[in-house]
Amino acid sequence: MDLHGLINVKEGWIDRRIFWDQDIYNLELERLFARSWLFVAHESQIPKRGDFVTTYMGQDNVVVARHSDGGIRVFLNSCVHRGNRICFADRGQTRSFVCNYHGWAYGTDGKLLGMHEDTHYEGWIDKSKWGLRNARVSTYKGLVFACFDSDAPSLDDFLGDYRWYLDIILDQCDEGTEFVGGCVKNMYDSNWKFGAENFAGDSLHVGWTHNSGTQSITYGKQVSELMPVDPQSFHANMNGHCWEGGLDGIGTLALLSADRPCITEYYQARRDKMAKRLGELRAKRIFGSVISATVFPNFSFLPGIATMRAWLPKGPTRIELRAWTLINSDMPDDVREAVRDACMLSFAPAGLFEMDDGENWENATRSNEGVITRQGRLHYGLRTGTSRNDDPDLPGNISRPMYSDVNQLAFYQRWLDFMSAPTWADIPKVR
Amino acid sequence: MTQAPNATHLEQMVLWFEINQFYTREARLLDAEDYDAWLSTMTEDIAYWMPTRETLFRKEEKELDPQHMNFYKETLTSLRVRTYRLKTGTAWSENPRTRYRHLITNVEVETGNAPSEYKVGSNFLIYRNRLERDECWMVGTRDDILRRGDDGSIKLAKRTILVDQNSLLSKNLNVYA
Repeated sequence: MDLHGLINVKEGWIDRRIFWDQDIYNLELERLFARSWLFVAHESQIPKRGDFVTTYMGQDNVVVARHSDGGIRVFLNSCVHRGNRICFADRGQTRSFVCNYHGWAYGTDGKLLGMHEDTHYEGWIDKSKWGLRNARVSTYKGLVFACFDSDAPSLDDFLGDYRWYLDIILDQCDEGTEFVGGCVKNMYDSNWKFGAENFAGDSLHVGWTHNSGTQSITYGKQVSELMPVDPQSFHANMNGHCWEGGLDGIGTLALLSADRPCITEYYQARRDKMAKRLGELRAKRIFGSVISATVFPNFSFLPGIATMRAWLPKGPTRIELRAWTLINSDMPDDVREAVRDACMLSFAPAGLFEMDDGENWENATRSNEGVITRQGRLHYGLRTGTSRNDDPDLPGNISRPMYSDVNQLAFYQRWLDFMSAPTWADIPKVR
Repeated sequence: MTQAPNATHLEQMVLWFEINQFYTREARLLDAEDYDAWLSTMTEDIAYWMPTRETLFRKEEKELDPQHMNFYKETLTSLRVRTYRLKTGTAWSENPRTRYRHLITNVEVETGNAPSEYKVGSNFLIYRNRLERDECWMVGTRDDILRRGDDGSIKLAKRTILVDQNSLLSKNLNVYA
C-alpha cells in the first residue's frame, strides 16, 4: 500500500479510502493505536485502592485499576487461559478479577493469583509468567494515559509543548480537576477520524452545522456573534496534537450562560487567580473563547463547554464515543450542576450541537461505499502551508486565523508518520 | 390492576382509560414533532430525567445518581430551548424529517402522594427511521407523576426514563420518550 499517496499535505487533499478501507483500518490499530499514548481515565474516577474502570485502547479492552500500592495499573481485560473477559462492569471496586469460565483470578495489578481447583496446576504453570499484559501508565495533571509500546517516548515527551495548552483546562486552581460521575456512551456509523479531525480544527462547520444549536441555546444569537472572524484567532499544532480557538475570552462562556449565569460568574471571579498560574494570555484571552482540541490520535475536548471524549474505533466505519464532563474540584455545587447541564444540553447524544455532527460524519463515511466515489479526493487545501513555529506567545506551529485546514492536515501528517513507520524510531520526533 | 385505596374498580378503569388517552395523545404529538403541544401537557415544574444506564456488578447496583451525566435532565425552560431547534429552520440534519413512532404499553396506575397525583409506570418502544435505511429501536420504561390541575385536566409533572441500553445504539437522541 502506498501510504504516502493517501495524504498530500502540500496540495491539501486526502484520499477517501482512509475513511473506508479495512486494510488501512487494520494498520491503524497496529501502527497507531498500539503505539500511541492513549487517554484511558481521569484519576478522580478511581480515587480509592481497588477502584477500577474498563475502557478500550484501540479495540483492546483494558482494565484501569488503582492497585493496593496506590499506583494505577492498566492491563488487558482477557484471561490468559481461554481469553474470556475477566471484568464485565463499566466501573467498580474490587480486590481481584475472577474469570467466569474457569475461575482464574487476577490482582488489581493484573498478576495471576490463582484459579479454581488450583491443586491440578501444581508444577504445570509458573503463575509469575502468566499475568495479564500491562500497558505503560503515566498521568498528566489528573489525566491517565496508557501505551502498549515499550519503545514509545515518555508521556511528557509525547505531549511535548501541548502541555502548555492542556494546562489551560487542567491547571486553573490548586484543587485540580475531576470528572462528573458517569460516562455518556453512544455508537456512530462513522470513521473515527471524522470526530478527531473535526475537534482538531474545523472552525468553519460551527457557523453552518451548528447554527440551529447556537440559536436555540442563546435565544436567537448567530454563531458569528460568539465567534467573530478574528484575524488573531489561531490553529496551533505540535506532533499531531491540535488546538484551535479565539482570543476574545468569552465566546464559549456566553454560549453556556444564557440560562446559567453562574458559570460565567464563577470563571470571571477567578480570572485574576487563574492568571497567576497561567498568565494573562491563557487565563483571560484564550480560556472562555470558542475552542476545540484533539490530543493525537483520538482524545478530544472543548475548554469551557467541559466535554472530554474518546473516539473509540470499532471498525473502519464504526465508533463508540465515550464522553465525560471535566470540572474544577473547587467548583461549588450549583456551578458543577450548571456545567454538567450545559454540557449535556450542547454535547451529548441529545445535545443541540452534537446531534448534527453525528449525522454529518455518518454520511461522510457511508458515501465512500461507492467505488467510483472512493476514487475521488477530498479537499483539505484551505490555507495550507501557512503555519510558522516562531510565534512569540504561542508554542507550536501557528496559523491565523482559525478558519483553515492547517490543523487537520497536521493531524493527518502525524497519522502518516505513524502509519508509514515500521518502528517508533522511524517516527519523526518533532512535527 | 393494583388495588387503590378508596377507589372502586370502575373508577380505576375510568382513570386508567383517561391516562391511556393522555399517553396516546402524547405519543402522537411526539411522532408529529408537535413540541409546543407536547410541552403544554406538562406542569410548570416538570422534572424530566433520562439517566445513562451503567453496567455494574450486582453488589454495586445503587439508586441512579441524579448528579451523574445523563441523556436528559430537563426543566420546562430547557425543554423549550431544546425544542426550539426545529423552529430555527437551520437544523439541516432534520431535513428530510425523521420518521418517528412511539408505542406506549404496560400502563400501571397507582394513586400518588396527593389526591390529585397519580404515580404511573409505562413501557415504550420508540422506532426511528431516517433517509434510506437509518434505523434505531429503543425500548425502555418510564416512571411518571401525573397531576390533575384545577381545570380537571391531567398534566405530566415528573418523568424518569430508563432506556435498556448501555452504550446508546444511535448516533444521536433527536427524540423524547
